[in-house]
Amino acid sequence: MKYKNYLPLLLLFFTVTNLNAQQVVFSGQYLNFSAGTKIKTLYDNSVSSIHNTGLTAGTMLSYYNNKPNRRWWVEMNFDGGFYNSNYKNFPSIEHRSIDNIAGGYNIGFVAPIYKITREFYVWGGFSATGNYQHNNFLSFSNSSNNYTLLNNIGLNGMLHYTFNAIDKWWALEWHFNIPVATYYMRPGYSVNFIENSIGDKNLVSFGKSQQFTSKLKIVLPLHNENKIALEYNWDFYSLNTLNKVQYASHGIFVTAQFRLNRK
Amino acid sequence: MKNLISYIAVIVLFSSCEKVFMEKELESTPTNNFNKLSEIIKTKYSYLSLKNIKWDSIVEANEKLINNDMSVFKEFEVYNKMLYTLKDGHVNLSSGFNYSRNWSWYLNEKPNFDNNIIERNYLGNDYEISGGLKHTTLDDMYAYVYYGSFSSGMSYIDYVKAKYNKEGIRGIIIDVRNNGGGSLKNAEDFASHFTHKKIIGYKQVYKIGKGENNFSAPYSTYIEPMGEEKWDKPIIILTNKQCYSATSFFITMMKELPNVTVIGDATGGGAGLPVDYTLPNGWQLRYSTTRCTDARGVDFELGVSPDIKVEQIDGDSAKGIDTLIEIAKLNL
Repeated sequence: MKYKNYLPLLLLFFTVTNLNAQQVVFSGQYLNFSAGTKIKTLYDNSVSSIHNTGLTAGTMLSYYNNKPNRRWWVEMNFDGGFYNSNYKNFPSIEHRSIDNIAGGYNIGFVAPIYKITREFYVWGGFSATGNYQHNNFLSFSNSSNNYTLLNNIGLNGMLHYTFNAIDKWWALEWHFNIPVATYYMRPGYSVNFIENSIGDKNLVSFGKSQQFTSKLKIVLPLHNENKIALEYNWDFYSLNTLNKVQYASHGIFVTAQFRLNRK
Repeated sequence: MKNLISYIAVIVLFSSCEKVFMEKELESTPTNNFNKLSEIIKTKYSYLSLKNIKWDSIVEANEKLINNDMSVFKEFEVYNKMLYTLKDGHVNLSSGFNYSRNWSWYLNEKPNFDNNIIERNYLGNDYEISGGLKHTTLDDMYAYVYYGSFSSGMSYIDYVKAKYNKEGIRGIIIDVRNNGGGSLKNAEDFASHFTHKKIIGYKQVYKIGKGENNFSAPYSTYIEPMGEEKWDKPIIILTNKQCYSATSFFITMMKELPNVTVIGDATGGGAGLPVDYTLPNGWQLRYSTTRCTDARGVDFELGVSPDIKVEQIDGDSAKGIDTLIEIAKLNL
């Protein structure tokens, strides 16, 4: 992959980041706690030719540093739950077929790059994200443990709209992340034994690894400059190396945002 | 405001479009199931070349038997016959209503083992059960340990070694007849309890591509001294055809030790580690995906040979005598 192709993008980014977009009311440092649930779909051709769908419960812990013309953050997330199979012709199989544990991180930075209206800005930036999915196929023997680890660097975008209602400033945000380079770790061609160092690992670009992360968030102001947010998250990844694996999730989260540097 | 709503609508639309990107689920039809099963065995099964199996011919011969109007029972029967030709105890298809298998590696052979004779005439009433190990002293001179499954725990082997070291017996008979396998880790740990130095236990290669002989370089698994109690006395291991999988690994590792003699019949083999795959209709296919050899490179998929071949004598059975144990005593 020719990473130098992305250098002009970087330069472009730094030449347009002198906008002051964010309402002052949203400035500040915030520690955020989130809780919610995800509906997940999994397709993993190393172990199955069918899709599995499941429900997980999750939490996120994050730190946001907001300034009128910058935002950076560190986020860690964890969720766990069960997949059910979509078996149509196998009534004897257990309904709960896969245990799932997942976790990840997201370290990112965005700055306003385009003004649509006085309240509505496009932000752009970069992020490093990690995503680990561990699946335990309950009816399998040696190959019951299966995993996918993705570490990405990529581009970040945010549409940020602020509006006044009920005498308060609210915010509507849509974040999206598209990795351009991914280091992955997966089981080998036909071996899923996690303890063996035979796994498949490599650095790949967008051709073999596609990932989209999207977060739609409405932020409601509370007293004492704290906030509460309702989030809808959509994640998707597709890694097509030795065995294709695809994953999608839809999540609803409630986030409590605690202002750290209150005036 | 109208524009904002349009923006949000576009965002939500693009936020939920994984169905465009996700691989389409194969429809559950006999044709799709047949194609998937054929493909998995052709590209991932590890013993086609060793066993000289012409899988393409088997697929071709059975393809005409498959149609999308057939019953699930007839469909299962086709796959059962196809998989039977692989002669592998680690190859199975589980449909819920049936479980395909080829267990001819022991069903067509002499059993050389009678649990009633062992329990009534050798273990007796007062043997000890330490985890998965049943053990006692025979004739006040020999330790006898029966280990029936590597799925059972073996962590008390140190206690067993200490007990019989104190009793001053001549040697130990480890009976793994009818042990069909279980945890490979237990097999490795059990063997490690009898070695005095780190040695290669077995070597393993993994399928890394679609070709019949597309394997990784060999990975060696070592056994090294384990436990507080050393064992210096002779060891005799009793085997029969029903020793399979982890038990074949155990015997392979133990044969590397200088004080070990294996008596009985060749094991059933089972040197390929199996993994699972779910077909489009939910049926679960299990197949071997590695190949293993002993430290010198001899593949033991088809069995581990004993040092002294001994079969149960019918006359002994009638008298309640286990021929193999009696021969073992003479060799200690």
